[in-house]
Amino acid sequence: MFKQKFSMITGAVALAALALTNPMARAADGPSDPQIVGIVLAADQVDIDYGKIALAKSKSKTVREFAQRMVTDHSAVQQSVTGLAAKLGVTAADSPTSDGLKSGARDITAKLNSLKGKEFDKFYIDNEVSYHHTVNSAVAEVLIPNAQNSELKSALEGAKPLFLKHEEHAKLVQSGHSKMAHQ
Amino acid sequence: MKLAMMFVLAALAFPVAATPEGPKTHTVLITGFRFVPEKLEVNTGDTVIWKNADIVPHTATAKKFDSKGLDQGQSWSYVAKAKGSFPYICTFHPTMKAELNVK
Repeated sequence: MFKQKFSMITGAVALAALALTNPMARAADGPSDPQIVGIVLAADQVDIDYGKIALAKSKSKTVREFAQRMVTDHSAVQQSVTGLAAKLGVTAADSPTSDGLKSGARDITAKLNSLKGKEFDKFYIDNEVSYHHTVNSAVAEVLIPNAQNSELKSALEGAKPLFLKHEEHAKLVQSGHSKMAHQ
Repeated sequence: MKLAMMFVLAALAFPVAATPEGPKTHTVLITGFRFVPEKLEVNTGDTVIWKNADIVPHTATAKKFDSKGLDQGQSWSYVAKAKGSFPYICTFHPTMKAELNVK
């Protein structure tokens, strides 16, 4: 149990650390536009990969439908962000945040690959709730305020409801799933 | 003369005002993971068009109707034949909720 929680926390640490940075320090130390694009693409890809694992492993219809939605929606965002970056001439750049996201995802992926059945479903959905929550905070508190290009800023504003609705959806599945587990 | 003119004008104006309105078409835009407007009241026989402006697919689904998946830019129309209140959701994003009221 502790290991599971620790693993989830590790996965979200990079974004959480960014979101909790002192607001005064953000303007000077915040991510550049190329780094913001890199962070969004990394965050999206991480969730697509989790979704693909869930589609391959989960037997729960609800979990599989949720996972398919994550793959479909985040793939659409990937396409949109890649297209916008090309239009703006911005090349995605790595940053400590995107690197942290990727390394955190390696731990979560290992955990997902090691679990089966209801344990897998629970860990996947719990992680989706916390992951989207952390991404929501980072988008609102760090990425949007630091975006310099107005079109990039506006695209991030537009992506906010997607992450919020995904978090709500994950919570819905989480609550339904816990009920099923207790029946 | 003035009175006669007034009658003529009144006669011209009255049929327009008195004619029952025909079926109307209403549009619900799906944007930013919301149905806009979230509450829509229509008359029986009116047509409601849902148009998805988001980059991800959505549905408008109630017990009485189901648009199925609508990609960005796609629309789906429904003729409101039955009276009643129809709460609906996007089945892909079930926390997206709205309501259609047919008078």
